[in-house]
Amino acid sequence: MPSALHTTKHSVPLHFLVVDDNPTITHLIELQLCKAGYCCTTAANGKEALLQIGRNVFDLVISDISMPGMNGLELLKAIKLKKPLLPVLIITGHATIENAVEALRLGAINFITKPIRFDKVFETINKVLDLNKRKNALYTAGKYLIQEARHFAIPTGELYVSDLATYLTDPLDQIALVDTACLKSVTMAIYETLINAVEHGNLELDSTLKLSGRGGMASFTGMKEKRLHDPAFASRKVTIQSFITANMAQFTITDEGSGFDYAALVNPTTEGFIDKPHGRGIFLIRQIFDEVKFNDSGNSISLVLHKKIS
Amino acid sequence: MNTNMIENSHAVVKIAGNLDGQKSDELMIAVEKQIIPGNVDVLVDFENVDYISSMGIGTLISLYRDIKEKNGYLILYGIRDAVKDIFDRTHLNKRLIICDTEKDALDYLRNKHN
Repeated sequence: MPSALHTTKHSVPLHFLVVDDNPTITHLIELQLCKAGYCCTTAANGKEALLQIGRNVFDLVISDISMPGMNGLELLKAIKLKKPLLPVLIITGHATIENAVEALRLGAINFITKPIRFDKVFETINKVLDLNKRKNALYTAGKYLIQEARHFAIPTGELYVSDLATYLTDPLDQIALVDTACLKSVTMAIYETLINAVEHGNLELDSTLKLSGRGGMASFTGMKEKRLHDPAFASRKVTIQSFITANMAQFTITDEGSGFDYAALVNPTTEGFIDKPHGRGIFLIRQIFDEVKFNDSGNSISLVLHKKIS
Repeated sequence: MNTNMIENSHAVVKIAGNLDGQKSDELMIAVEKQIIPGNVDVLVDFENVDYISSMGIGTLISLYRDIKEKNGYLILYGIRDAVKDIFDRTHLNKRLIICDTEKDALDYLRNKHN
């Protein structure tokens, strides 16, 4: 059992989320982990766990498999959709090979049986620590980056917009191209661009539906789900090219849709337009990036950001 | 999204994290649930919102229009600088009712209803 306090790069203790409908179990795990110097949050079911994951940054989720409502495997699936990189340890009272195989297939970092053996829990924690160490080593090297070029072609069905936006803009923080506050706006601008490529571009959805009341939102979400499971749409790729140097970053994002008429964009601060709920994505992107260009067919956008910290 | 109905007169919705597409859907559902006859005033706590996307802005405008039509008030408070900057740049500060604190928002409501 580790005696020292384990820390991440920001000297914050590892934060775990413990999920079980039995409060005696969550309390027992919490007690053992807190004794070892870790920080714990508990949740009584899958729904509560997802809410906590939306609010906090966790290093590991430890979840029971059988819970009323959303069970551990369903929770694991939902976590891998929202936060593919968040490790999940599954605990079960009834060990079956099917359950173990299913948990690992869905992306669990490990699988242990009840009664809980804490040496097995700490073994998994050590695995998470090793992963974090590797991340920290990469982070340190990132400070000294001279130039980096990346090129992705991601099928729409496997593109997790929020996590990808963070992943693409993380190097800007490491090389101090922008400060933390500016990084958040850059990440959100990349998020806007990726959402456009996915929803307007490859899935050919009409996002004005989304803001036309609850019925519109439901039909938008229904259509999006349907198309994400239709190979004709889901296999279309979003291509991302990023080129980062110590002084600038350039991102080019291209979809396989029919493009849009960027010349027809209206400045949303024009009187008469302010009350309209749509058409601010590109405007917000233009507020953040120094250069914004489209190709002729309007299915590719190129963004340039110059160094903001002297 | 945490929503509280206060003394059957107004609702307070607290947003945690960035107001992106998914959070906007949650906000729309949370606020629409609160708009019932006799209770159309909604306060939205922005204290934990670091950044707002275009869908977040669109959602606020839709809600503002719905609530205004029903003679109610949508009031935002606790707004951080980055979000305030976006409201200024998009001129939404001219439409939305923005207060510093929850107390200011409640004072605003009291004045309007008296």
